[in-house]
Amino acid sequence: MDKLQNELYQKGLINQDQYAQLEKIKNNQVISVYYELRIILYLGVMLFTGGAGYIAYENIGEFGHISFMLFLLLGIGVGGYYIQKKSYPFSNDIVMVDHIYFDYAVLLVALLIVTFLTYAQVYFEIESLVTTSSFLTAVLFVSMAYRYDHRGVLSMGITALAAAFGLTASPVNWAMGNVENVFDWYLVAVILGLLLLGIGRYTDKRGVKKHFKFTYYHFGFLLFYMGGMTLMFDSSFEEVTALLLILITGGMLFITWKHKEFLFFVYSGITGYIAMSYLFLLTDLDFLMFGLYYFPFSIIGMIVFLVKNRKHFSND
Amino acid sequence: MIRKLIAYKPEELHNHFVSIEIKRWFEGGMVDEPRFNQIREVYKNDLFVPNMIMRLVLFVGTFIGVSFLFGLIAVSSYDMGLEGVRVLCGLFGVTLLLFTEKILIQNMHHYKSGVTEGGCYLGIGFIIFSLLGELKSQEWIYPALTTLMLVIISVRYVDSISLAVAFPSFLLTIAQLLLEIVWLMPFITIVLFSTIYYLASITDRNNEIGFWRDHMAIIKTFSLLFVYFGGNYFVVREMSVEMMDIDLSDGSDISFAWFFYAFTALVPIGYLVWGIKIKSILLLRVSLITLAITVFTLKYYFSLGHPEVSITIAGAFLTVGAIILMKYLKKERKGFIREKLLSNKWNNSNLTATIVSQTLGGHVDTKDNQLQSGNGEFGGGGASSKY
Repeated sequence: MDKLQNELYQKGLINQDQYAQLEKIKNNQVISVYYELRIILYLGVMLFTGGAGYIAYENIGEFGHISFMLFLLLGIGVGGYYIQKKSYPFSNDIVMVDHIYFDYAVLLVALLIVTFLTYAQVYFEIESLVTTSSFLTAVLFVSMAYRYDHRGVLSMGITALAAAFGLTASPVNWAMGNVENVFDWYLVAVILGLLLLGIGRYTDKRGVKKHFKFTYYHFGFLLFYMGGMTLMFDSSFEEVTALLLILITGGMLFITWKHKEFLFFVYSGITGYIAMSYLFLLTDLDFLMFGLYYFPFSIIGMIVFLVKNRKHFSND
Repeated sequence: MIRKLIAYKPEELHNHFVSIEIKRWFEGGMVDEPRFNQIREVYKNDLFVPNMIMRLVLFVGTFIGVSFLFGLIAVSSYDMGLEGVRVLCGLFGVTLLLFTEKILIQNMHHYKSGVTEGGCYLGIGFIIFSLLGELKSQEWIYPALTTLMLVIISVRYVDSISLAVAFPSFLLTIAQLLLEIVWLMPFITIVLFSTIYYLASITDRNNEIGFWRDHMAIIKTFSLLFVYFGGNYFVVREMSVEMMDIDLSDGSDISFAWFFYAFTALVPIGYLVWGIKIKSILLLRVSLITLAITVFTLKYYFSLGHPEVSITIAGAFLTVGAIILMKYLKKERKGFIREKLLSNKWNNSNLTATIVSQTLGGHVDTKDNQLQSGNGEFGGGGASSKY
């Protein structure tokens, strides 16, 4: 692809200026270090805040703790002032602030807030306020996400909201098998998941920050399906839950298919498949013999289905 | 020549490569939308190239589904003994490869669809087992055959993942072949992979590599990394203890310790300087990775006992350095610039939002009440920079 600009130029598909500019990039006369610099900055901020926080925590006395918290508050104030000053007015659409550090500053302020709240809780030993504080964090983060148009902070806000209800809304933790927290809380997960899906749908319909819909749906689907499956495996009315899950995922498959939302289509498909297989396992038939045929042919069937309908999702 | 080597029609593949490249140009603002659509129209092709999620789903599905299918076949013919199973595996593997090539690629125009990868990897897996069975002697032949098979499918199906797996497998082959003279291993690794890097650079410069450009980048990256690891003090020391039963617990050191210390410290800096000099983003990236590993290696042996102080200083240093560089490269200097030129194929703001929220913490868990650490909010350092 190094000489593509020649080919396109000869075919008259790009003009002289474009050719010259591309020639410069392609011949390594100019190199972008966009991602490299961001990685360094990200690592630097992470190491510095982590290390400095630890040193402060280890080395300061009673007075120091108070002053450290004041220092954090000062950081939040300065950072908040900076982003407020640099930000553009609220809009329901994507807001791109033309300033290289803006998104980092929003993220940093959000992290400082969570550090401050945690620090204050531990210092004043007010564990009873943990839920309130998580809830407060969630409200604050979600409002910040809307005000400064930041999807990362929105994700953090939703995670904090789940934490307020005692859930670990972290796909990473689930992938690592850390699910014991989820087990007692499946009903909360189901309700919270439905709530998030509802918010995502409502705000999307009303045209408020349409690009946030994915984040809401993502957490919503994960919480709802995880909660539903845990309920199915754990409760005493397994068949009913499994049937309900099959019905719901069936409906969701239909809807996500219509809206061409592939990721959620996959989530629904996997959940529905697990529920269906579990239902077969619960029945009296000889599952070993049945499974020998059921698994290969059902899975290969699904692949054939996806490949046959490949045009459907390939619009992006 | 190319026509014989790859399973695809070269014209079709070329058109696909152009479409990908032109999308990067469009997203980088190099061409406008009407022009972008016009070029895409000219280079239209029927290849089936699904997005990342679809590819992953299809790959995992194929892997599980085909494995179950083999289970079904194996159960229905269970009393054949080991030789019979090997024959069955061989037949199954060859069928898989043929199916992938004739049906999926030639008839249905799959390209990196997940199904093709699943078919290839399972296919060579079955063939390797069929050829070698449970050979006890000459262990090197397993990684050697694996390397060979992986390289063949990486060339024929223009697949870079199999090439990336072939590298460690190749290194393992060398290590097992050289068990007798294992003390020479660091030097052999350094020389061997330097040579490979050198050959890859020459090939790369000739511009005749066409569809294997990504392959060259992978070869170069792995070669540079293996050269570094070949002489990294930590690796050499641990391997010496492991493979040659050297006892270092009395405070003694490995032979040529000074050489490996110097090598560990100097090679990343060499990569960095060299990368800036010849303006190679690949060298710069590898130098960043190796620099980080060098810092950890040296800290491991020369610790001052206060990791938090070093972390803070390193963090401050990196932050200030990054900000200075960002200011300095605001406009192009010596061919480097801080702006994005062409978009990166991994750039996806929804994905990055998820990564950021998961690596930078923010989820306070009320149930376990793990708040004692006070400052432990800055969770594990993922390699996510792109918000």
